[in-house]
Amino acid sequence: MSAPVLALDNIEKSFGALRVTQGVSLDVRPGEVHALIGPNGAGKTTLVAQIAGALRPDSGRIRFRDRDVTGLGVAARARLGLGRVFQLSNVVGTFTALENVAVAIVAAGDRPFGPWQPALRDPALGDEAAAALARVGLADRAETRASDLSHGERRALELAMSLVQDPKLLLLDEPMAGTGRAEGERLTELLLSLKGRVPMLLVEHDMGTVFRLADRITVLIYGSVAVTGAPDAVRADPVVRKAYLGEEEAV
Amino acid sequence: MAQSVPTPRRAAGVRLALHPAVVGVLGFAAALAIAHAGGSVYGATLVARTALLALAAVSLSFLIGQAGLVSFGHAAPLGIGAYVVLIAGEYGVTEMLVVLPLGFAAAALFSVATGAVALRTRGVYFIMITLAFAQMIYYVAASLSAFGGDDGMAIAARSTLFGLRLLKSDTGLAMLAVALLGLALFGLDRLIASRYGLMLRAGRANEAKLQALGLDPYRHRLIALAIGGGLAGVAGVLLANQVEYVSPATMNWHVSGELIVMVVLGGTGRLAGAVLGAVAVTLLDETLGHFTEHWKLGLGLVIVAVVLLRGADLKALLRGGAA
Ligand SMILES: Nc1ncnc2c1ncn2[C@@H]1O[C@H](COP(=O)(O)OP(=O)(O)OP(=O)(O)O)[C@@H](O)[C@H]1O
Ligand SMILES: [Mg+2]
Repeated sequence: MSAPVLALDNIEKSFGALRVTQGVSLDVRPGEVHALIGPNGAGKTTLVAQIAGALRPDSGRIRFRDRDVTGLGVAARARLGLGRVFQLSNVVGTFTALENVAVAIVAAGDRPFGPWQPALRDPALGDEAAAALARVGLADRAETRASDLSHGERRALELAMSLVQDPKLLLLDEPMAGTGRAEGERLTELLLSLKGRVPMLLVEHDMGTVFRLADRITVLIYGSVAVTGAPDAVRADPVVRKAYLGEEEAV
Repeated sequence: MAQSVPTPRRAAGVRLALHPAVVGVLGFAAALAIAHAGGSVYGATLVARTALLALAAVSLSFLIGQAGLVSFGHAAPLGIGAYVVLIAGEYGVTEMLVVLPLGFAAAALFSVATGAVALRTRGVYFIMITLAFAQMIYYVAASLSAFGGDDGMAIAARSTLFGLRLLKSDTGLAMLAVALLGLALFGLDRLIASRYGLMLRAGRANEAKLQALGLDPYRHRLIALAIGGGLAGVAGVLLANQVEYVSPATMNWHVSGELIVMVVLGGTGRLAGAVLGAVAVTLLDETLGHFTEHWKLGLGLVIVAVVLLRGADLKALLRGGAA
């Protein structure tokens, strides 16, 4: 197996007396979907924030694409290919769907200072943005303000904004949360179509989605890793069954 | 807020004719023509004054509405532009083609130098720190005893243009001010729609997301401060010429506050709003101002009403744009 895309080494983080991340080590391999599950408040979002660079760990190292990124900020890590889809959809509400994707393209591109040509009248930029929207099923919503999109559509838009940047790793924090059944299904299909091409760290409560997508699963309980392994092994693990999967056994 | 990104569907000619820069210039030109036909010197003075204040307000609207940078110290670059006229004049330099770029550069330099510090803060702290820097430069100006100190002093002479005394009359000065205002509106609109502007506006609306997309808007904001400050400096150059007198009072925080009032009154969503705001405030000043010194109390009430009606604007202001 080649070197992992992302490797966390003994990450520690406390908010005051609360140890939200306790000696977490895990990795994401090339092409892999690695699911991170755990009860509410287990520290999943906090861990994702540390991977993205929005929070600094108190100790431990984070390696991304064979580079120590522990000291880098959010923007620098994003430029290395780290794409983040937030737990609460995070787009520019006052911009149209198309403008949002254009922002993603320009932000990652090499000409974010072009001062004269109107950005959206650049056919290359417009075409690329439109294609990215079509890819996530939002072709006919291009001119709609992001704040007027449904919850699921906003998730899809956020995904389109990440994908257009050609990410080397996608951090997905509960992409299914709050989406309707049909929307959730579409989103799952979309992620399935990316599987194998884009490595993902997937935080998700919906076990159906997790078991359909994940190659490996890590269970986080009270900030520390309870178990990491193949889906079947995790499903069978007694600690996990007791602490977390109990009511999901039917899956 | 609705963005003034032109729709590609509308024909280019119509779009140009309806451009705020064109409408604004025509409006001011009409006012000037009427004043001239009526033989009113006061009319030309009023147009010159309104246009140059509108330029200052537009430059601030660019910072507040587009970049999300609520500066409470915009009187500083305005005053710096005015002092450039005074100081250059004392050294015998009165050509507009020299003084104007010099005023832009000096004001932009100040805005960038102070902005490099101020941009480390957000929201209310940004407002306070820009105010503090403006008060500092106010006291610096008041201590320049060679240039009138506290009281200020008259400029040596109005600037020449191409070596000619075209700006001797307020009509000439008004034409220059209106032309520069039109240029600023056009150029800034173009800038706002560009890739640079797209990043600037995205940073105002959702900085965390822009960062997660790989762009730290710090340099974009610094450039915005240079442009906004520089244009205020240009307005200051015009102001010094119009009043023919320069004093630290120009940099007083009252003036910064009045510029914010113009911007908020007209709405921060569009640059053209600042022009309307500037026209409204100047006209109120000229009319009510003659009846009572306390007219600003009335203006205050108008502002409270407008802001309440535009609740979102106030909230955006207090958030400091960049949440
Ligand atoms: N900035 C903060 N300051 C203090 N405590 C925090 C902070 N952010 C999160 N916490 C706490 O850390 C713990 C972990 O929160 P986190 O959001 O990472 O959990 P999570 O696993 O993502 O939960 P959920 O499944 O509900 O999204 C919670 O108890 C939360 O209250
Ligand atoms: Mg969470």
